Parts: sequence; structure tokens; C-alpha cells
Amino acid sequence: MQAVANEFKIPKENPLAKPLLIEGEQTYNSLTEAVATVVEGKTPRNWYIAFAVSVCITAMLGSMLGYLVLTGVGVWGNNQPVGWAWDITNFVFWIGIGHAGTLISAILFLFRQKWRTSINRAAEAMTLFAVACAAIYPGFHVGRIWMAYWLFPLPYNQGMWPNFRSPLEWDVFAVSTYGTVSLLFWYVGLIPDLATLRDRATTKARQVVYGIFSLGWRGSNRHWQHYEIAYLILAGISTPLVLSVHSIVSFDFAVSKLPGWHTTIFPPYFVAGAVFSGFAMVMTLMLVARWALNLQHLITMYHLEVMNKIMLVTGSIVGYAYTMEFFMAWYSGNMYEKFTFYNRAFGPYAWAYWTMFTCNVVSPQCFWFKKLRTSIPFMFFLSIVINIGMWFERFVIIATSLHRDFIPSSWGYFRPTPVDMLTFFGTFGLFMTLFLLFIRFVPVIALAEVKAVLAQQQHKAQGHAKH
Amino acid sequence: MKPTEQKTEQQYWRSLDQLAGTPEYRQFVEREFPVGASEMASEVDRRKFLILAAAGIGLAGLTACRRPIEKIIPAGGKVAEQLVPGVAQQYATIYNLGGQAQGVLVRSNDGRPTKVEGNPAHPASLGATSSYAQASILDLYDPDRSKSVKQGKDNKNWDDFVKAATPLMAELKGKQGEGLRFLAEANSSPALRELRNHIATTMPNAKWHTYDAVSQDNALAGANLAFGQPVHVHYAFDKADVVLALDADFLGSDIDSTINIKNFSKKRRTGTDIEAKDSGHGSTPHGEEKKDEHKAEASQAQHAVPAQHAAEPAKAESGKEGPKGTPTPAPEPVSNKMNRLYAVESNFTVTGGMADHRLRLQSSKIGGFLAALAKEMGVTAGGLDKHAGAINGNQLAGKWIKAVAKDLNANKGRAVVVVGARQPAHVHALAALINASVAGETVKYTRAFEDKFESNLASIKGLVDDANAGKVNTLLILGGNPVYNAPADLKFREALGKVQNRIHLGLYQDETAAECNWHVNEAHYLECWGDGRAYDGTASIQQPLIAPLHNGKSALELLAVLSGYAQTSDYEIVKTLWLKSLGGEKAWNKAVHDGLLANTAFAAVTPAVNAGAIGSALDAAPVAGNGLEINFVQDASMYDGRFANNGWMQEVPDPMTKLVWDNAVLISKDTADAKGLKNEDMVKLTLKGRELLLPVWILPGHAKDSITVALGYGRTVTGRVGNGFNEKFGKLMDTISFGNTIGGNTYLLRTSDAMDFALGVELAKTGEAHKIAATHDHWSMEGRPLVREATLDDFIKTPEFAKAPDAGLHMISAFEHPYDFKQGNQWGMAIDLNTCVGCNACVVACQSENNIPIVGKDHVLRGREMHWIRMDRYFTNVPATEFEVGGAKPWVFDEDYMQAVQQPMTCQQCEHAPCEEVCPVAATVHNEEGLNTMAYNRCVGTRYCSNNCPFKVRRFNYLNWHKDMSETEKMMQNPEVTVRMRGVMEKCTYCTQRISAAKHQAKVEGHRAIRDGEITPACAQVCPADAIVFGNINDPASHVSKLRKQARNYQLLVELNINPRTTYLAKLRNTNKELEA
Repeated sequence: MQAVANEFKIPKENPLAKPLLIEGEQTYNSLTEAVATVVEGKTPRNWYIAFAVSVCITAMLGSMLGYLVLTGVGVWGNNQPVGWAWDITNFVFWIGIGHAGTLISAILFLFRQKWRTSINRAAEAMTLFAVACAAIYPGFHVGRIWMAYWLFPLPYNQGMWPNFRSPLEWDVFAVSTYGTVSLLFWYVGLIPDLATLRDRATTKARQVVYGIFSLGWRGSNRHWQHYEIAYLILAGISTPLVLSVHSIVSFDFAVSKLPGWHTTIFPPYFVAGAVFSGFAMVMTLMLVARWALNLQHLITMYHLEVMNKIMLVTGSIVGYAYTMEFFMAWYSGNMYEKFTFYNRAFGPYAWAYWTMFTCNVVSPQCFWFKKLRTSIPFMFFLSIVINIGMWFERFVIIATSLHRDFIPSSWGYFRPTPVDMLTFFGTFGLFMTLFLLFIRFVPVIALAEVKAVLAQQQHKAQGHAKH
Repeated sequence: MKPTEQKTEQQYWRSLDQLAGTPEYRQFVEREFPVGASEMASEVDRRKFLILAAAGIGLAGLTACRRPIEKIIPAGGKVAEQLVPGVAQQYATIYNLGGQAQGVLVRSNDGRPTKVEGNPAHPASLGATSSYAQASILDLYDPDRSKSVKQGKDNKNWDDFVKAATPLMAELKGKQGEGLRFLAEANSSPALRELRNHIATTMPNAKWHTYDAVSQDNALAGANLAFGQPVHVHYAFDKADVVLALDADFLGSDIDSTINIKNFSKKRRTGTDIEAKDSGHGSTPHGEEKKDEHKAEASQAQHAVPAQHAAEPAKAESGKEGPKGTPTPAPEPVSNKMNRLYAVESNFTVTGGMADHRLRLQSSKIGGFLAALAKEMGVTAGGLDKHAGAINGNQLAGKWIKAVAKDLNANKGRAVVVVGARQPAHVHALAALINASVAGETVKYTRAFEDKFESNLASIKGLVDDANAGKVNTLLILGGNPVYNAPADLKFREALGKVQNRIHLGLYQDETAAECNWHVNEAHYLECWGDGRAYDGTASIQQPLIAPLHNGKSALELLAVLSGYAQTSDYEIVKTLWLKSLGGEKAWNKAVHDGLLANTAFAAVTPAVNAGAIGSALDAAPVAGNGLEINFVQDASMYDGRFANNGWMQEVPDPMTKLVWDNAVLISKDTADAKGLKNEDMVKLTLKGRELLLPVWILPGHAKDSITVALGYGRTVTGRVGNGFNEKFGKLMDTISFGNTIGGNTYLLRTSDAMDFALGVELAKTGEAHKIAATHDHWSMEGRPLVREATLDDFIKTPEFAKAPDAGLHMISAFEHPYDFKQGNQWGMAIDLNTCVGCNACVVACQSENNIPIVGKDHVLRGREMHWIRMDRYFTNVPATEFEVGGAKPWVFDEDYMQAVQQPMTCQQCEHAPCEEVCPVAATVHNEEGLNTMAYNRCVGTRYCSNNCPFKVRRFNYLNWHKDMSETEKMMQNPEVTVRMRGVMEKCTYCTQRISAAKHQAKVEGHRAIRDGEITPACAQVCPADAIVFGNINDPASHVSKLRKQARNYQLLVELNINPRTTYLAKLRNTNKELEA
């Protein structure tokens, strides 16, 4: 087998040739071994350490939320003009991060972008965990969480329906639909790989658990046919959701009357920003996972470079949106609108605005340079910078618009409390806990799909050799 | 105060459950049903049912025990037997402050006083009240009020005190009262006077002293100087066309400001009622239609129009109709109708904010200004030249003197010069001299409450000197807190220590109580009988609404018992006294019912002004020098410090500075810049060797080289609120960093030779900073058309100027509104910015009516204050986009021409309410009467509504503000208004409970229509300026509809297509061309 692989290598000098998606001399078995041993092997000590830390942070999140529920939203820094602050900032931030997963899974799948196969499983998992983190905020930021179920259209004795005109209500549907579909999509993709783990199981417990979750998968032609169609349908359903969920989240702002929120540019701008931040987060996680799990041959420099290019594009879109907002504020002639943007750039929150601008618009421009685009330390650094910048984007939109709106007498300033900060930090703990569980118990790479890519790669190589 | 002392509240119960749980009740059960008692714990059987029923009856009877047994008479005319449980009653009584009585109607819900309102029949109220009167009800229920008689630190009771005091008084009586002294605050009560006379006859050597930290001394001394007798000066602002206010905050802190605002606003309103050409234009898309206008005229005669609006310009058609036969007055030129106010002052007061022209001048130079003005006007008196020299070189003042002198002389008989209480006597006297030539009907003099004039200062000085000389054996302090607020140089505390028997009567165990041997807990004015006189002398009866909660005693009772007066209960004292002059029970009942005795006002006197005496006083008075000046002013919230434990007053923002829970060194921007000071810088003030630390707060437009500090802060012995440290506020108030008090005690700098202002104060930066909570620190309106303002001349040329920014807007709504706003009652409000002075009474009234909690300083700093109505204050010649408040960029504006505007801001009840669209659970929805309603029970608290509210008038319960509410405070809550839990949004409802009550009443009375004026929200009710008018905008004859038709009417943020139901009437300034910048 090794000889075959060597023989079929594409000559490097061909400039039109795409680099290999799977590097090294790989076979189906070697791929299975590489991915499955991560799950099956002895749990490394570092995993335990990381898990313990993450669980502690998650527990702190729990206690912060408990404190919030028992005391009131006043434990956060939210105030009169700034009714939403870190709560909704963090919600949009996490939802945005959750964007890349479905984009990679669904849209790139439909566009036959084969390079997605190495990263889609982890990206989808990341989506789910990010949505879980995001969902905490709209739930807990309300004053009376024990009544929050009223946001759902449930037929109960009050005979009251929610207000379907409220964008917040649309949010409920958009986010819950997105979460559900993403979960299904991820799970359907997992079935063949779970069956592989079941078949390789050495203990009874593993066999039973993986057996249950693999839903009796036997790998028959009939199974594969149904599977491919189901996957395609789910990809089709997910694709509009990628665009809709963040568009609807942006409606929370765009539909309001507040200068700085009330803009039609928000839906595309938010989606681009979400993809931008989502890819940055995937990048951060993949670089760590790739190094920790020795998956360099599956997640290659080619993958990383493509992702960097996407960040460059979406970062530029976001930069365009920032500029266009200023143009529109000036062009509209609306004094409130003009003031809001002037205030963003030069008011009390100017520091936040320029942090955002530097991180999101200036820094991704470095990816024009191939050297930087392919430097792992640099891209790791930049992916974190972009995530910080994208957090600030949401903060700038929410807080700076609210803190000074129509009536100057009501202007104020928002300062976070330690509870704000610890709650946000805690969501990272939750995210990491879930992610660590994921890499320990589920194949981090979509084995079945990677194998298909390998087959294609080899087939192509054979084809070339024949001519 | 130690926590152990706060247990006594448990003696009041409010529910059956609570009563059933008390040991007293268990005892009661055991005694009555010894066999059945054990059955109580088991299931409900017949016997238990009967027991509970009996307990219910017992409870019903017991609640009545809180009602005083003396016959009190509700204002509605119903007597106790006719009371319907759950239906509130109003009782007329009086609120005494500064020696003047203000008539009030107090609402009683099943025996609990819950809300103070103005008494329309009372001359000192005319339906309005001050914010102090509004807040006084909180003092009644204050859990920190003194609850027992004390001897030293030991709790005693009244009988113990009487037992101890009787031999002492007998001994003193034997010595003709030698060594016996009384120290009281100013009080106009005839009953108290009767007791004083009794004491004077039985103990001729006893002496009565009077001390108020904030007093009318200077005005009385000035009158004494000018007329040879201490007459009271009354300004008839309803007759004055030109008013010159010299350091006079007659619309703000003056004790009779309620009535001043009432009268001033009448003159402010005349000549401004111009109807819009097209009343539907721009502002009322759903509003009145053309065809309704005829109907409006037709029905005008049937509807009662408040008196001050009867002067609306006659319309063309009304001539032939001739409503009620009043002849149509000939139209006068408008510019002669609206008054003109000139203000010359050091501090920026609300009066200065209302002024058409304002000159900032050090208080010490005001006398000079008046002297120069007198010269210019041709008034002659000695010493004018000497004093006028003080303002030589001040070009602006020179320009002013020419213009104002001309204006005053041109309006003889309709002009008035008003001098503030802080100006020395000779300035008051000089003003009296000028008024003698220009005033005419605008000034009235009546005799003073006291027959013989003795200044407060002389009085307390005399007491201190005698005490130091060992001449005082027994001192009775009847209210007041001289240990805290006596002039610092008198060392009152030390002098008091030399008095053998020190007896204190007070609502609180305060600084003075702590220094006395005996403290008697005083009854609140709503707990006892009394009387008083209004500013004009009208005798008024004070009736209690509730028996003393803590068995307190009134000053009348204390004096009667100690002096051996014929009656010892305050009811008997007052009734016996008044029966003598009233003649019968019927007249007495009427007086109690009305709260006043008609036609008892003092007759006006016309004393001759003694120019010679004034001249020699001016000659003798020193001319002010130069240097940094310090002004001691009465605080808009604390008065003299007595409201320190009143959370409403601590949290109501100062009308100009918007500070809460603090006082500060107020300083102009230019002086602060010159001294390198910025907001919140801590400075050390040094005056005559006395020092005080205070933070700085810049008040633009304050006089140069002058600072102002408010009195009344820095209390050391007060309740939990005033101390700023307690279970509720302990954590909330940790930003109190200096002296462990709220604000700084400026009395420590105030000496007997510098009671009002002094030159030569030193100001040194300490380098530290003190966080100050201000609810509104932005000066500029940012060029936004929020408060729309024009000069009177421009208004006459372009009456619809206020609508200009809204012209040419085309608005489309995506949603069809479910309600037709042309049917039935459609509630709306109009707020006249031309008459609103920003006195804050509405803010406190709303707080009282709607059970609005206070949040504490730290949460105000976080921007979580809960007021449903707020007073927005802007300075009008400040450049927009002042990011420089932090001090980053230099910016220039002219503080000499600075003006201020006030805008009451509350829920605007938008027809297309942005809050409603975004609420995901439909907790805030519209009703068919145009109210933007709020279902607290449905609210989950997403705060989206508040974010989308362009006016930011919604208030969120970030925490449980009602936690730890004492049992007494619970009694104060208005049962008609839901107490909001944490996590829900709340806001102004136009007092929907009052709307409902009126609708119920109308339904009961045969489904009749609701009459205009039948519903008055708390803010409108209390407004001394009648600036807030509420009513049915669907009724073209209603007052509010007529206001909405005026040319000055406009809506805020109309471009958002929200169509607010609250509209504003634009502000006007009657400027003098010669003074325009």
C-alpha cells in the first residue's frame, strides 16, 4: 500500500494542482487507527488536567448564574440606558462562533468543497457547544427566569400567546431551530463513525453505548444510500439557517428604533461577522487539537490556509460594513444617527471601537501575505485577536448605541461587575468541558468522509498516472 | 442605632395570618376558649370556624383603634360611620415648615395615611404642595423615628417622664420660671401662642427662644429697618409684569415657593395662548379634526375651565355666543401680558433658570447692584454711591442696571424687586424703598407672626450666653436640632452641657437628643392636633389621621402638661381655643373639615417707608470687598437637614445640579478651570480657621469667584438612611468614603457673622476624589429639538415656531393599529414648559403615589434610579457634543449668558409605542383609551422595551428594592398600586389607578361621561405651576385638548412616527432687547 501511495503522488511543480487534502502515506486502516485511537486509547493525563480545570470553571459559571437568579439582574452592571450589555454581547458572540460549523458542514458540502471533511466534525461540535453557551444568556438575562417559558408559544391556562411582532420572539425560534438542526446534522454525520467505534470496541460497555448511538448501522449499500440522502437534505435545510439565524439575531437590533441599531445593513453584516468569528474560533481550536492529537496529516496547512483566506474575505466584508455605517450616518442627515457614530468613534467608548476596528479590519489584512497566512504561531495569535475583536464588535453595537441615545439627560455609562466577567469566563469553561468530552468520546474527524476523500485522491492519482 | 432597638415594629399587624401568629393572639384564644385552644392547630371544624370568624371581627375592630378617638372629619364630608372599607378618604390638615402652614389633603386608606395632596381651598396651597410636604408622609412611617421616651440611654415611657418632670416644674414655678428656657423653631400656631402666654403669666421669668437654621431673619430685619415694624412682605407675582429677583430663589427654595410658582405661572401664561392655525398639523395625526372645533366652542360654556385659563384670548365666534355673559376683553398687545423676570444671583437656582435674563453676580455684590440700580432709577437715599461702587468695572452689570432701571420705571405699579432671604437687612430695606415707587399692587405687607422682632441669631446667642453664664437651669428644646445646626462659633453643644436639665422633644433621636437628659418622642403632624397660620395669616387646623404610632406627644401636649395648662390633650387645647372664636361645634366641624378658617388672613398694612433710616443703615453697612465667596444655601432636598433620613428626599435629584445623596462645592466652570478643579475633586474649605472637606461639582453659570455649599448634610446621629449604613444600604452605599456621613456638614463652617455668605474662603485641592451620584450630568441638549424655546417677540411673529422641526415629515406605519383612537376616552397630557420651573414636587408626588422605591447612592451611580417622572435640565448655550466633560478638549461657552431649561419627562404614552412592538411576551400593550399599559405579572424582564424606548422612561427592578421594608413602611404603600417585584419593568401609567377609580365612579353614577378635570395624576395634582394637564383629548372642550390646539404645542421625536400622547408647550422668554447678547 505504501508503495502505491508514493507512486501516485502529484508532482509538486504543477501549479494548477491542488495540494493533497490528506498528507502522508495513508490507508483506510491508518486513518481509522489515527482517529479511533484518540477515542479508544488510554485517557492522557493532560486531558484529565484540562477537564478538571474546565469543570471547575463551569461550576463557577453555575454559581454565578445561581447568584444571579437568587439576587436579580442587578448583580450585573446593566443599568438604565444600557439595558443590555455583556449579556446580549456574549449571546451574539457565542452564536456568531457557532456559525462556522454549519457553514462548513452544509454550505461547503453543497459546494463540494472536499477540504471541509477534515474539520467539519469538530466545527459542528463547536457550533453545538457555542449555541449551548449562547443559549444561557437570553435565558438568564431576563428578570424572571422562572417565567421565561412564556417566550414559547405554549397553550396554557393564561390563554396568552407571545408577541410575534417582537424580534426577540423570532430569536427564540431562530436559535432553537438552528440548535436542533445543527444537532441532527452533526449526529447523522456521526453514525457511520460511531458504528466503526462500536465494531472496534474492546469492552462490553463501549459496544453497548456506541451500539445504541450508531442506530444499527451496518454499512450496507442501502444504509449508505439513505444516509447520503438524509445528509444532503439536512445540508439543504441547514444552509438557509446559516444565513437566517444571524440575520434574525441582527433583527433584535435592526428592527428597533435605536440609532446605531436601526440599520438595514445588519443582516449581511452580522452573517459575515459570524462567519468571520466562527472561522477564527475553529482555527484556534483546530490548531490546538491538531497539535495535541497528532492530526497534522489530516488537518494540513492547506486547510489552514483556506480558512485564513475566508477570514481575510469576511474580515474585509466586516470592514466594509463598518465604513458603510459611517457613510450612511453622514448621508442620512439624521442627527441622532450621526451623533451615534461620532460618539462610537470618539465618545467615551472610543477605546472599544478602535479595539474592534484594529482587531477585525486591520489585523486580517496580514493574511494577504502567504508567509503570514501559513505561519502557525501567527495564525493562532491572529485567530484569538479576531475573536477578541468580534466580541468588541457586539459590545460596541450594543453598549455604545444604548448608552447615549435620543435624550441626553438619560445618557449613562456601563461598567461590568465581577459577576459579568466571571459569568462570561464561565461560559468558556462550559465550552471547553463539552469540547473535551467530545474529543474523548467521539471521533474528532469525520472518518467516513475523509476515507472517501482518500479514495478520490488515490483515484485521481491513478487516473493521472494512466494518461 | 443598634439593631436590637428596631424590634418594636412588630406591634403592627396587617393580615389575619400575622395576627394569628402573635403571642397576644394565642393568649387571647386561650383566655376566651380554654378548651378549644388546642383544637386550633388541627383541622377546621365548626368551633374553629367560629373562632376565626370572631378573630376576624376582633381584627376589624382593632384596625379602628389606630384611628384617633377624637372626631376627625374627612374632606369628602363623610363621617366614620359611612366609610366604605377599601375606599380611600381625604382629610384636610396642615403641614408646618419654617413657621408657615401649608394646607394639605391627606388620603387615608382604611386608617392609614398614604398620600399628601394640596388643599385647593387653602391659600398657601391652592391645590399644590412643596416636595417637602409630599415627602413628609415618609417620615411618619420611618422605622428610625424615635419610638420611646428616653432618659439618657434608657428607654422610658411618658408617665416616667411626667413623674420626673412634675417636681422640677413645680420648683421652677416657685421661682417664677427663673432658669427655665424654651428653644423652639419658628411656629405660627395660635394654640402654641396661647400656651406661651399661659407660661408667660404663670412663670414670667421663663424665656422663649427661637432658632431656625434657615430663617426669614434678614427679610424681617429689613422690614423693621424700612418701616419701623417687622412686617411680612408678600409678592403678588400674579400682578407683576416685571420682576427683578436679587439672589432670591422665590420659585425654588423659598418657603412660600408653592404659592409664588402658582402666581408667577399665571402671569407666565397670559399672552401665550395662541391657537395653532391648523391644530392637526404635524403633531396630532389622530387628533382633533376641523369639524370638531365648532363643537369645542359650543361646549365650552358647559365645562368648568380652571381659573387661570379663563383668560384665553377670545375667539371670533365666541362674541355672538357670549358664554356666561362675560364681556370679551379688548385684546392687549401680547408682549405686555407675559411677565418678564430678571434674576441676579450667585448660585444657579431654578428661579435663575426661569429668568428671561440672568446675571451671575457674587452674593456680596448684590447690595452694590441694587444701590447702583436705585441710583439709576432716581431713588435717593444715603450711602447709595458707596455701595454702588462695589460693582464698578463690571460692564455687564452696568448694562443691566441701565436696562432694568428703564424697564422697572416703565412698568410702575406692575413691577417688583424681590430680595432673597440670604441678603442682609439693608438690601431688603433698599428694595422696600424701590418697591415703594414701582410696586403698586405687586407687594403687600401684613403683620408678622411674632409681635416683637427678635432675630433667630440674637435669640440663640442670648440663650448660649445665659447658659454659659450658668443662668439656665432647665432647657426644653421643642423640635429642631440646634446641636447640629446652630452657628459653629456659638459652640452650642458645650453651652448645652452647662444646662442642668435638658429636655428634648423630637421626631428623631438626633444629635441634640443625644446631648439631653430626657428625650420625648414627638408625634408626627399626621398623628396629632394642632393649628397654624398660612403665609398670609389664614388660621388653619391640623387634624390627625392616625393615632400616634409610637405614642408620641406633640409640643402642645408637652407644654400643657409641664406648665399645668387647663387641658392636656392637644385636641382639647386646640378645640377649646378655637371654639372661643368660632362660637360653636358646627363652625368647628367646618373648620376641621376645611382645614382652615375662612377670612382669617391678616389684613394688609401700608407702612410708610423710612428713607432716612434706610440711608443711615446703608451708610453704616460695610461695602463688600473682593475675594472668593462662600454661600450657605438651604438644600432643595434636605431643607436644613431635617430630611436626612428621608430616602425620597435623599434620592430626588437637586433641580439644578441633579446631585443625589450628597452635597458639594458648587463652582462655575471658569472659576473651576482657573483653580484647576474638576468634578469630584475633593477640596478642603477653610473659612476663618474652620475646615471642611467636600467634593467639587461644576455648575455652569454659577457666579465667578464664588462657591455655594448646601446645608443639611453630614448628619452624624440620624436613622439608617441618613447614616448611609444599614442592612439595606450598607452594601449599596459603600462609596461613602469621607466622614462616614452623607455629604459634608457645612454648618461646621457657618458662623454667626457669616450665616449666609462670606468672603475669604480658601479652597485647597486634597488630591483625592469622591464619587458623586448625579442622575444627569450632561449639560447640553446636543442641538436636538427637545425643549423648544423662542423669545416672546419671535413667538408672536411665528406662533408655530415649535412645530418647525417636524415640518415635511411623511410617515408610514407598517402596522394597522387595533384601536380606533377617535372613540371614547382618549387620555393625553400636555406639559407647559413655559410655566414649569422644575421644582421636583411632581417627582416626589409620583414616588409617593406609585410606591416607587429608592435604590441608594451606589445604584444611582449605576444608573438604576426608579423615578417614573424625572426633571431633565439642560443648559442652553453649551456647545453640543461635549465629550469634553471629562476634560479632554478645551471648549468655550459664555457662562454670563447661560440659561437653563427644565423638562418633566415621563412615559409619553406613544400611540405607536416602540416598547410594545418588541416585548416578546406582550407584557406592555395598548388599551383602547390610548394608554400604554404595563402588565407587571406578565413581564419576564427582557428589558428590550427599555432599550427601544426613545425617552428612556422605563425603569427596571434590577434588584428587590422592597426587601427589608419595615412594617411601618408597608403601611404607607398605596394599596391601589401594585408593588413591583424584582425582574420586572415599570413606568408611568398616567396614574391608571386614578383613571380606573374615576371610571368606576362614573359607572356607579349611571354610566355618565367622565368630566374634564375629574382625573388628576399625582404629578399634575401637585404641580404648583399647573404645568401638567391631563384629560381626554377626544373631548374638544377638555383643557388638555385646548392646550394641544395651541400653537406652542409639539410632540417629541415626532419623526419616529410614535405619536406620543404627552405633548409639550414650547418655552418662551420675554427678553429685553437691550440685554440680548
